[in-house]
Amino acid sequence: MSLFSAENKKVFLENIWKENPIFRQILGICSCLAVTNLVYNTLIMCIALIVVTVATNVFVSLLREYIPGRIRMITQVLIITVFVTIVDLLLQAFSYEVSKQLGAYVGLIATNCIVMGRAEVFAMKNRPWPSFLDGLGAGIGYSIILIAIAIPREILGFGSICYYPILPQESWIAWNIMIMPPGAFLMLGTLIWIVNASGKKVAQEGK
Amino acid sequence: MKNYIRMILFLFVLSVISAILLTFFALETKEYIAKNKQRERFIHILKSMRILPQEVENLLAKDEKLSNMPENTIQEKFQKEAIRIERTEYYLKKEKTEKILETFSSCIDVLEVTSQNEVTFYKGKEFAYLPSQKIDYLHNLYIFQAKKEGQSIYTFEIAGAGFWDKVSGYIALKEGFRNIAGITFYDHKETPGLGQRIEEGWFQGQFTFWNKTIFREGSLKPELRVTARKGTYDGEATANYDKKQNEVDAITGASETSRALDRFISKNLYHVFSKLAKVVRDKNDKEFFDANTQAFLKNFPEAKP
Repeated sequence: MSLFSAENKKVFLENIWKENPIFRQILGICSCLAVTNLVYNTLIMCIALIVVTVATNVFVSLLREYIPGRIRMITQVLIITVFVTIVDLLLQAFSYEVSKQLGAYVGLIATNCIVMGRAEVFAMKNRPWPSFLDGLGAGIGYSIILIAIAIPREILGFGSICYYPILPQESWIAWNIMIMPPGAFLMLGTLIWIVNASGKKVAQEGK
Repeated sequence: MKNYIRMILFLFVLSVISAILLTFFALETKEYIAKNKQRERFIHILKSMRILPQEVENLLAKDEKLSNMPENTIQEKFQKEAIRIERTEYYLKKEKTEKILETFSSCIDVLEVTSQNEVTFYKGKEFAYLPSQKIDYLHNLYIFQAKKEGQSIYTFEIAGAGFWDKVSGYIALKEGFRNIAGITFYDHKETPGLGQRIEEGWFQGQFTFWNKTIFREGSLKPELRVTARKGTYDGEATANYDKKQNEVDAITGASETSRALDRFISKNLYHVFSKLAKVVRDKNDKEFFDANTQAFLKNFPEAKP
């Protein structure tokens, strides 16, 4: 099987859109609600999640022959938490401000359903390379939605994108609701509605 | 049975590997994290005292937003002051760590009071480069002192329960601990847009701009109030404004955060003062506290309120 065979591509691409974890499966929305009020923080969070998902998938896949079936969940959680802790430490050491703003949510990647979901569903049954692609796809799929939610939230909540002001700071009245978690609920709901209403085809193909 | 042993062995080996990996990363990043935290504290200590690296002063002087602001009426002056505080923090955070340490070492002296009332005196130069395990912010009290325009300013940490989580900051006092030279909050988890506004310049600026004191008139018990009162203030008390010299405006929509500050700042001040009063009485440490402050501390009541 070549590295970029049709099957591998499908694994990668399906996760980005058709099987998008947040959109189609409504998984991992905890962090989606909490950290998406600033685009920059969201980007860091997305990178952290991609690293953890990919690393976990690869390691679980490498160990899949040796993991005893009855304790596979504990093993996965152990692997996930190791990577999450490493990412958290690195963030604190090299990007202290962002790590402070993300607060507990970096640590909470450990409980993110996407990471464990991909490990259990895909990495346990597949070889490392497809697992790598699967993790990357799921991570990117998650990131796209998070950024799509973060951009309008930051515009409406702060009048800026990545701290760069784009709306007149003097006359613009920030929407506080957009900064707080309920704002993410509104945005996520609206996004799902728009996508479902405009592209019914996608949803039906999924069935 | 064999299966069980295999499971236990597998988990055991995996845990040991994980532990080794994590220990390695924790040790490798420990110094960096400690430095980041120290840097943050120093930034806020400098900010509260308004002792800035020359580079930051230059940037502030050149700042477009600041220089475009009018300052004809007292309100405009206050708004400018508020923005200045925000820009100061912004520029300090951008400044290189060496510059922060340099400024800290050259201007500031430190007094450490442990929970057993043992006193150690550090020059800024020593303190800034102390290994992080020698500094224990949790149990010890650190008083930072600097001279500005011939006057001593003292800064120490204030912390207490906010609405959601701990709120930590620094308060700087001048003129024998009577008046506030600056206040800043560096760590909190208050509601964004509401309680979070304690970070903003207008909130922190009102402590200093209107020359607020920490005492009610004629009293020696610290009582810095964060209260909601109607009316506007235009520099002089008017008929419909009855805020006292020890009261600052609360934040609209953040009653709980304001109430929390109202509660814990005075308590913190009382705690620090009674501790220092003891130090001054026992050790008579003449070098650190100036005459005004010593006189105040000697008279400070030791009994609980």
